[in-house]
Amino acid sequence: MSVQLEQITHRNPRNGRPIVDNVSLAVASGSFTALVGPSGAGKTSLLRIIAGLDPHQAGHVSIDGTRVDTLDARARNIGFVFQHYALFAHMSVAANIGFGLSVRPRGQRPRRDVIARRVEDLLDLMQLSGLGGRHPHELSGGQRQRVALARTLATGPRVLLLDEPFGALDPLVRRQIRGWLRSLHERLGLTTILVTHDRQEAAELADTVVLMRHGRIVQAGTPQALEDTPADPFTMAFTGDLVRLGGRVENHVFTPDLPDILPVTAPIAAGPAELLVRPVDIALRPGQGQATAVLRQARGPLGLYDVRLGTDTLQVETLMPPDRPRILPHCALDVTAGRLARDNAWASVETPPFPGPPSIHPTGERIHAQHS
Amino acid sequence: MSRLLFALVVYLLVAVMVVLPPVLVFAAALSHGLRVAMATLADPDALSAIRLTMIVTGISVAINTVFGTMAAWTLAHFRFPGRNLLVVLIELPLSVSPVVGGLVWLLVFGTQGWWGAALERWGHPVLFAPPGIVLATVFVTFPYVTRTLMPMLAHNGREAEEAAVMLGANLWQVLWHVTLPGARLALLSGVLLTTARAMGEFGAVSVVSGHIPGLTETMPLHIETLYNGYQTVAAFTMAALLALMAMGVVMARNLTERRHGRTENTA
Repeated sequence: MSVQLEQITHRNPRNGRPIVDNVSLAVASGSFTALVGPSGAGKTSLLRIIAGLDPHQAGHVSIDGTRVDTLDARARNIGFVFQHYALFAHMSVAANIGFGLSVRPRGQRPRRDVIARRVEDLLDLMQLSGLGGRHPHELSGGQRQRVALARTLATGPRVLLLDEPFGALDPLVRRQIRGWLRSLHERLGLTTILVTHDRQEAAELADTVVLMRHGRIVQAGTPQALEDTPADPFTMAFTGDLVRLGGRVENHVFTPDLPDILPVTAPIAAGPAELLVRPVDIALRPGQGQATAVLRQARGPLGLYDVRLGTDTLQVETLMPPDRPRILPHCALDVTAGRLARDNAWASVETPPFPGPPSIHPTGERIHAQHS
Repeated sequence: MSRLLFALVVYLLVAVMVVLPPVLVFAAALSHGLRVAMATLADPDALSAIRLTMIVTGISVAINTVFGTMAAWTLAHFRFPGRNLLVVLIELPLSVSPVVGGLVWLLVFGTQGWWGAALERWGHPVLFAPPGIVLATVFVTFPYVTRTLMPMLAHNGREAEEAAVMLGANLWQVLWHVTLPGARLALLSGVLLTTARAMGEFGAVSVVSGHIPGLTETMPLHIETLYNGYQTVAAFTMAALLALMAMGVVMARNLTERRHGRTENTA
């Protein structure tokens, strides 16, 4: 089932400030979408609006092309997994899972033995066999999470909404449940929307990552697209590690304040600017400068170098030359893979057209292609 | 050393202020032996007072449980204009003298009041009759269920209720299967507190009852009548019985609270 949001706005009833601000989003049937962003970005509010738990003052929510704005939360047939599981503490695990079926109107309610069988199937599916008679407080966090998921799936929803479902779990269990959730999503043909503040979790699970900030969508796309072509500095900072280099633009050439960084060209007017680049995207160019790079740690073919630039030290992760030198003297840094930011300006940069010796670069092709 | 002194002072205070009165009541009741004491309870007026107290308590507790639960649920779930005022009003009986509570009913249902004369003519008097006693008791004990239940409902259950809604439950199913079972121990505690308070109410009931022995006297009122009539043993025996009933209820409440605390900790 697809979910469409058209210009959804939800204001704080007390001060009128928008919590969700004019958000439009199309979630394709069968896709796995992650809503990410810092806390207070409006992710959970948006999820609750889709579920019908929170109101919205403007815009429309549609499921499979049908507007559900006025439809009660209980009638939307959407599964919702809460951050703290929200299990019914006074009921057994089996009663929790069977709850959705047992509260159906008399005509649609399955027979008791049918419900029991469905509960057993779900317990098996969730690897909880034999725990049906326990109470929630007798279970571990990971088990409770799976009971919550089983309870949600019991009524056969086609859309699954998850609000920070792994927040309270320890990292090892988290990783396990993640992979398992993804396979479940595929097996049951669900349309899943997950809220998380963990970008790695989002990138690992989702086909589409939607980055939110201040109640708005900053950028939506595949995890790779967000990392490769971030829409603005905020997205770039959120999707990975970042080095920020100050400098000036003159005649479309950006010169960093620090020495031994090769200038780059950029289509930006003259003035101060900041270059943002990921440590893995910085290339070392021996013989082109005065900086010394010292190997701190080797990680397979990659080396983590400390590069002294004047009084500053930059950390650069890059492919090592075949002889794995501990010290690379007379280096310059190539930051062609970075992006230049100033106020509203945001542009990728290029190497000025002059020939140089072959570079050492993790991705390689880009640089070599330009030089060959 | 000073700690020991403090402990001693506290023990002394508790002994004089809390332990001594019931002990003296029991002692006075049994001063002529158990048989004499028991005989006073067989008096028809005494039996009538016990019966009336039980009936009034039962009805008041039932009314306050139903409406107190509804009030607590409404106050815990919705923010609406005048909500704070409503909370203050519900707590009013705690701060207002019970006598005032009784006088209000006198004003409404008394022969000089708004509907008193009409009710009298139809042959259903409220004042100086059991309905008035129930009204007065309901007023005095109204806050207890709401006050014990409200924090519980506000604190947990919100997410559980939303989960139930997402699973397709309607309002009554949420209330019946999720909200109330989740707060059942708090509810029981509030009900028992209401019971203990309802049995012992004197002031408000005294204003509306008319003190007709055998008809409109509850146990506390009958104790006063007996005492004023110099029937010391009978008065203290009735008092001892009332104290025993109240202690039983409070003990039951403590038991539920202890169990309550245990499940809270393990959950």
